Amino acid sequence: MKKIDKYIDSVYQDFDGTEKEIKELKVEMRSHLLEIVEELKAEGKSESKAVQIALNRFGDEAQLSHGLMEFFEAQKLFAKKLLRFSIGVCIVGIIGLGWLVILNQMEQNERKDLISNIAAQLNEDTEFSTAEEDEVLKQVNYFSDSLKILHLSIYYSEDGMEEAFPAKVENAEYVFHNISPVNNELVPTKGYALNDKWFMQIQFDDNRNNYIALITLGIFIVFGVLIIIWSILNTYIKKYKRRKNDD
Amino acid sequence: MIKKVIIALLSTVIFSVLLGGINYITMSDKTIEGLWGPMFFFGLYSLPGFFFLGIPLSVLIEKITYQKSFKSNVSLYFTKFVLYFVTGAIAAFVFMMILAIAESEIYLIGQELVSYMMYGVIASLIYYHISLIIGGNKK
Repeated sequence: MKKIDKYIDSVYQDFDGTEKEIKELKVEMRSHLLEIVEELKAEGKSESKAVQIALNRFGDEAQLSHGLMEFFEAQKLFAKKLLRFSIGVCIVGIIGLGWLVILNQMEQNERKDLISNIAAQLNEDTEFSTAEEDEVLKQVNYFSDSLKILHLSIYYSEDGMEEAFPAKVENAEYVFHNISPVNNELVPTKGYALNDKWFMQIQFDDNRNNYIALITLGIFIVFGVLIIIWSILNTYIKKYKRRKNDD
Repeated sequence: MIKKVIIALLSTVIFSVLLGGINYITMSDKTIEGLWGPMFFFGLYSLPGFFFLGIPLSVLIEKITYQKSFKSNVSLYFTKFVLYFVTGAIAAFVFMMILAIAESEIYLIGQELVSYMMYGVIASLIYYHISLIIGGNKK
C-alpha cells in the first residue's frame, strides 16, 4: 500500500488547488485504487502484482484524461481569444458606424444650408431676376464639390410642389447643375419646396457614404459569424465539462 | 425560449403602439391613414426585427453579462442598458441595410440614418425592460 500512497503523492505533487481539495482528491483516488486492487486480488492475483496492475491501469486512464483536458483547455483558450477578437471587430464596426453618422449629419446640415440659402434668394414671382440667378449659381458652385451635387434644377408650379413632384428635367425653369448620369429621365433623390410656387430637385452622389455603410455592414456580419462560432464552441466545452462532472 | 418569444411579441405591440401613436399625433393630415396605418407599418417592420435580431442578440448579451460578476444589480442594469442601447443601434443599421440592399436602393441610407438607429435603440430598450419585467433574464 505504500506504493499506492507514494504514487498518489507524486500525482498531486504539482497540483494547483487548496489543501482541502487536494486531500479530498487524494482520498478519492486512494479508494478507487484500493477497489481495483481488491478486485484483482479476488481474481487470484498477489497483492504486489495487483497493486502494479492497478497503478498501470490508472496511469493510462489519467494520461488519457490529461490529454483530453489539455485539448479542451486549448479549445477554451481559443474560444476566449475568439470572443476578444470578435469584440474588437465589433468595436471597429461601432467606430465605423459612428464615423458614418457624423459624416451623414454634417452632410445633412450642409444640404439644409444649401436649400435655405437658395430659398432665401427667391420670391414668388414667375421669373428670376439676373441677380437672383447669379446668387443661386454662386450657392450651387460653393456647395457642389463638398456635397457632390450631381443635379440641381428649379421648377415653378402654381399648385405647389406636391402636385408637380417628381418633375422631368425638361420641365425645369432653371437647370443650374447637371452632371447626373441619368439625364432627362431623371427622378432625383429629393425634392424641396423653396416657397409656395417654386421647388427644387437635387440629386447627390451618395456613393462615399454607401461604401462606408457597406464596409461597416461587412464588419458587423464578420462579428456575427465569429460570435456564432464562439457560441457553438462555448456550448461544446460546457457540455464536455458537465459530462465530466457527471462522471 | 417561449419567454423570449412572448417578450418579442409584447415588444412589437408596445413599440408599434408607441411609435404609431407618436406618428399619428405629429401627422399633419390625420385622415389619410388614420391611427392604425402607422401602427401597422411599425408592427410590420419591427416584428421580424425583434424575432430575427432581437432574440439572438438578447441571448448574446445574457451570455456575455453572465460570465462577468457585478458588484450590484444597479451596475448590472446599467451595463445591460448600454449593451442593449448599442446593440439596438447596430441592429437597426444592419436591418436597414438589408432592406435597402433587397430593394437595390442603398442611397436611402444616407438620408435618415440617425432616426432609423434611434428607432432601433427604442425597440431594443423596450425589449430589455419587458424582459426585466417578465423575467427572461438569467441573472
